[in-house]
Amino acid sequence: MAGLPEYYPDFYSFPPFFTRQPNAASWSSQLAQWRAFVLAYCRAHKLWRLNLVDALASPLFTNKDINRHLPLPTIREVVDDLAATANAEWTSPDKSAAYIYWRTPDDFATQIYTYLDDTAQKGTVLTLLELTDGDDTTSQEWYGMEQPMLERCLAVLVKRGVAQVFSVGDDKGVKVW
Amino acid sequence: MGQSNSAHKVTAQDRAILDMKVQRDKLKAYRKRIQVVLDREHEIAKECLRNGRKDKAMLALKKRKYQEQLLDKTDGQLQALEQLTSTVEFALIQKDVFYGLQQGNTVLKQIEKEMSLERAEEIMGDSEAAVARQQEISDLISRNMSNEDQDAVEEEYEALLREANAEQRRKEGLPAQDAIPSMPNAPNTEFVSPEEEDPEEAREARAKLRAKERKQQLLAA
Repeated sequence: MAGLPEYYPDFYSFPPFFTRQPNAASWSSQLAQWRAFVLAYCRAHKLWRLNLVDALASPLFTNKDINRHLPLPTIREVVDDLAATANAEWTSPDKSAAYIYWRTPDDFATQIYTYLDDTAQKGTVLTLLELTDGDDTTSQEWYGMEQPMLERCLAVLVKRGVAQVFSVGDDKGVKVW
Repeated sequence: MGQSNSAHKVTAQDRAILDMKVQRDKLKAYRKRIQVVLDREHEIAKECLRNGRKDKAMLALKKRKYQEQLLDKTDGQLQALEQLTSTVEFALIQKDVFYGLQQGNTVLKQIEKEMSLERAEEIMGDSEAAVARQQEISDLISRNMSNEDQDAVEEEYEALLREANAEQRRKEGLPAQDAIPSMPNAPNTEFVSPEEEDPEEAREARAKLRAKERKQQLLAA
């Protein structure tokens, strides 16, 4: 497996990996492998949204070396499974694209809270854009995250009672206590 | 953390700050856009020069210059906006500090009120009066006593004192009396023959002496 980054699983060059296994036990282990791979891939490439058709052609689901790709329905099954654990969220009912949370919204929420606490920005009003695209957050894991995803993560903080999201016109801001 | 949500309210100031920060974000986005245009015009100018179209290259460079001026203006505005935002945020903090100072002052005043000078004088006067009353009672009691009673009391007191001393000495492992009894003073009175010196008379003499003392005390009072 020369030349592939380490987050690629050993199974990647193993043709059956790209075929949905009929046996339930095999499928569940295969599914676990795919779940981990999708999250690791998105994390490494800082991918926040997966368009299934585009992703199909990407190295994520297609291994050109062995001329195999994971069929679209199976990809959908994998993403469905991710969505069940809050690691993914379909962006539309037709399941053509999904947000991929390689950390769960809960984890990101905690990270954001810790960051704001560490930088003494509790009680300060921040724009959502500033959090995902500001000059101060470039080194943070959630940097570049799409706005709806950030809102979902902040909703966790709101639910914990430590934040409030409010808007001025169409633009949203957050205040964390 | 742990506090109820109702304690945290988004205020009008928060909204104003958000508004300013949103404007700042928009200015930043605008700046980014201008930067992209700048880079593109530069590319166009290069491309035109390569193709030998000098006038077009010049035009692109002029456009670029104009965009650069816009960028400068944007930077200035961005700075003004950020300054204003910081000033507002600082003013909010100052308000908190002011409130804190006010609270401290109120508490201090309250404490001072609780121990005002008048109260202190009153308390001191009260205790003085109590002492005086005590003295009065004591005087009253002693006045009601006959001299003999007074003598008896003092005799008893002395006896008790002696006893207490003896007790103390016993505890310390010493003999009841000093090993060397204190020597009497050399007589400074007229010599009296021993037969005259009967104990009854001596006690009477002591009583007389004390009566005289008391009389002096009463006079002094």
